[in-house]
Amino acid sequence: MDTTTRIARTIVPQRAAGRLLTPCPRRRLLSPWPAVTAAIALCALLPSSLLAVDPPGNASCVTQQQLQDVGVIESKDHKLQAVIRVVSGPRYLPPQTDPKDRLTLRYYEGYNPAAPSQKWPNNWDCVGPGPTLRAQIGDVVQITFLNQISPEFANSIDSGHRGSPEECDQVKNVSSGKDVYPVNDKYPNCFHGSSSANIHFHGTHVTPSTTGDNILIALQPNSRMTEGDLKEVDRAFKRIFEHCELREEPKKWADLPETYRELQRKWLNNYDNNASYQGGRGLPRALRVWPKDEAAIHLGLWPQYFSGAYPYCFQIPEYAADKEDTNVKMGQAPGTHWYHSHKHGSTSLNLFNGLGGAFIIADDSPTGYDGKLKAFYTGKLEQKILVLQQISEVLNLMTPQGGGSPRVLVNGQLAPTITMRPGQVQLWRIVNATVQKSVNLTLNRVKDEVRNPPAVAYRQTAQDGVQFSWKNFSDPQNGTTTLTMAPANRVDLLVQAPASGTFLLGSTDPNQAVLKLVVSGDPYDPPMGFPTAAADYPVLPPFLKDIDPAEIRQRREITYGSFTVPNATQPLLTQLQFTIDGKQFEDHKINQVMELGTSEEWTVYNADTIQRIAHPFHIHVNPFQIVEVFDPSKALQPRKFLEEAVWWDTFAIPPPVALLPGQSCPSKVVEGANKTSFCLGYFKMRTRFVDFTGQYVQHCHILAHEDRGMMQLLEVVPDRTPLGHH
Amino acid sequence: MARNRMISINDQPGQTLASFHPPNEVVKVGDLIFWVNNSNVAHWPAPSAKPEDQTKWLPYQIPGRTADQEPAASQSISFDAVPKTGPKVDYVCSLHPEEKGSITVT
Repeated sequence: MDTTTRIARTIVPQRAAGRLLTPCPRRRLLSPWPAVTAAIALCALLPSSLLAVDPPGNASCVTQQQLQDVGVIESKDHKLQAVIRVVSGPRYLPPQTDPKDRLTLRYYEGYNPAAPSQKWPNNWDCVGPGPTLRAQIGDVVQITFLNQISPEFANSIDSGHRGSPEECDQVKNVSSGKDVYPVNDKYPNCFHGSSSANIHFHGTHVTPSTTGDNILIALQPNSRMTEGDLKEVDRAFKRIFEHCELREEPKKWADLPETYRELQRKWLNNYDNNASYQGGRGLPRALRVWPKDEAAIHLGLWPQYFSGAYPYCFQIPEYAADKEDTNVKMGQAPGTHWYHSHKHGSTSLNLFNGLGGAFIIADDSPTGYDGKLKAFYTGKLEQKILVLQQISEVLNLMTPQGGGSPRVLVNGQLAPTITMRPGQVQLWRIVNATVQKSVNLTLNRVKDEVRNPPAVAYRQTAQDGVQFSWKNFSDPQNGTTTLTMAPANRVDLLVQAPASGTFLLGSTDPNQAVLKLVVSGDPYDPPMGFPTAAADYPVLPPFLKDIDPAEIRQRREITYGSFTVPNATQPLLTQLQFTIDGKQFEDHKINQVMELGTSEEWTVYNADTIQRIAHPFHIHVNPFQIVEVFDPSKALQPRKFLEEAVWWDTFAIPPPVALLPGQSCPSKVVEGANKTSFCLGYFKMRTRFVDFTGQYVQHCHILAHEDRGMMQLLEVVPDRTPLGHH
Repeated sequence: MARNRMISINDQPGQTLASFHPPNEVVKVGDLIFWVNNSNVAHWPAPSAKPEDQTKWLPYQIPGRTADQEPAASQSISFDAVPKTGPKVDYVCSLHPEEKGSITVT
């Protein structure tokens, strides 16, 4: 019996026709833009299950001082069900309150079809993250993902929609007659395709293939789906999701319901026939996307291009020590993860638009990360989810003027306030969802207050969504060091308010601070405190035990670097290029192949001797344990972490330092410009390539670097070694 | 920070000429300006109707649309300074020179 047949047999009867329809979002009704107006009639016809989000309505977030919580879509009965749409429209960027100053941005709208009151955004019209997703270990994630971005952006569509034979976004400086962009950037490592969509579930240990954490697909926008189309999508996705619950995710194109395949065929052919190209309509053969999909399908591969609607469904793996031989080897670390757009060429622009959100994966079991902390604080532990973002309509490299770095916002707000009672402890789950900003987490006391005020006490409980072991949590240094978050890092902190005071996060300057903490109200007496005994602290899941050096199958060296384009074309903003192992990302080339079920040790060097910045290394699917770090700007020798080393999924590689004559270097030495010798910073990590085969990527999480080529394609292949051939 | 500035090209009921909205777009130096063509015929913004100016801003015309097609967007242009001739820059559709618009660069 093929999967399609099985799907047909398990289909749940549809609810009665004639469901109540939710009114159209107010923005669409008010929009003066003709195409959006044309969509009014369509949206009135959409099934309520695909349009249950109330309209964003006002700019209250700009004036509101207190931190607003982002709306949560939560799993129930082991299923996280969500409809998430990428849409576009005007949004307030704090501190602006004039409607004329609103930015036109792409953003996420989402709701829970099983509990429509769980929705986001909720009655405001400001920039900010998508809904917070909250699931439990072992849940099945079922997301109906819709791309309904309007064509109100220049240079936005893949493969010729702009009318240019080249595939990079293009900007011309009409003052000088010269191009601003792409100039020295070359496809595919240039900004392009920013209205194509997909989702990376950053920090999840799930399949990177088909309907999992698959960032290789591109979902084309399609705002012209009919009511009938959407009902077919709804029905088809329900079938797919039911099979996911049985751990029967679609493996190939034929596993998808026929109705959905037919819609994709129709929509993608429509795109090929109607996309604008060189001033006309219709793409030439080489740029058509449906023939590319057909070729992939013919080879038994998962196609790359989809239109309008895509089903994300996967299981968050639950590790069971007593089933080690048959179950997953790693399991999902419970913690603070996130999701964001990840279309190569537009990741940075879409994150600047705000296309990111928190994804909390909880373990509420009595010994689990969440359950144990709740028990210790007898249910009084308040949590704050803080999504840090930078918002901008445009990228610096695409303007003739360049530009500064946008302010860091928290949940879409400018330096919002958290008020805590003296002695109160909160769990802050901080997500650095900025494109490029390292954020210092120091809480600085506001001056002009009492002398020698008490400091804010804190303890880190997790890094990148992976909990600290008791040894690391109870380390005397925890709570004393300066914490810095590179882009994509997450940090969980237990924060205890002192007796009084006002504190600024990230800066001593109120005009640059990220967050304000005000202590007031009735004190907790005694203070809530922190766990002081291992028995009060979450138990470390067994799959997070140290990777034994004896397990290591292979050691690799990876080098992040840069170069300047020789004889570069003016203007020179794009002269600086970024590489991994001396090369930029190449389509159809797999740079690293790992065998399923093996552990490896990678030494990742930073050879960017030009900018000398800390490029944040990120690898999908599997977290890694850092066992050694060498930062030549801070130490003469590497620092080693031999036991219970912290797990990360993103780590800023220490930059290289120019060597003085006679100075030694315990790392590699390379020659930079002017024959200057540089001692390279590096880190060494161990990771397990377990549970999932498939293709995914490692890249720099300064996302403009990723878009411009600082990325490699990886593949984990099954162990098919012959038993012997002698 | 620089901004995107969208100018719509729309058919006008009962008239043969399309119009630019806003007819005078006020931008800042460094902003990215582009056009979205909602009209059912092609248009081609250019600094003048002279043939040699047709590609000075955009390399191609922006195709029109039928009722079931998405409108097409152009590439972006930008000014790196206020023009010496003054902040207001007039332009036309090079395919329909009677269709006029302007951009004020501040």
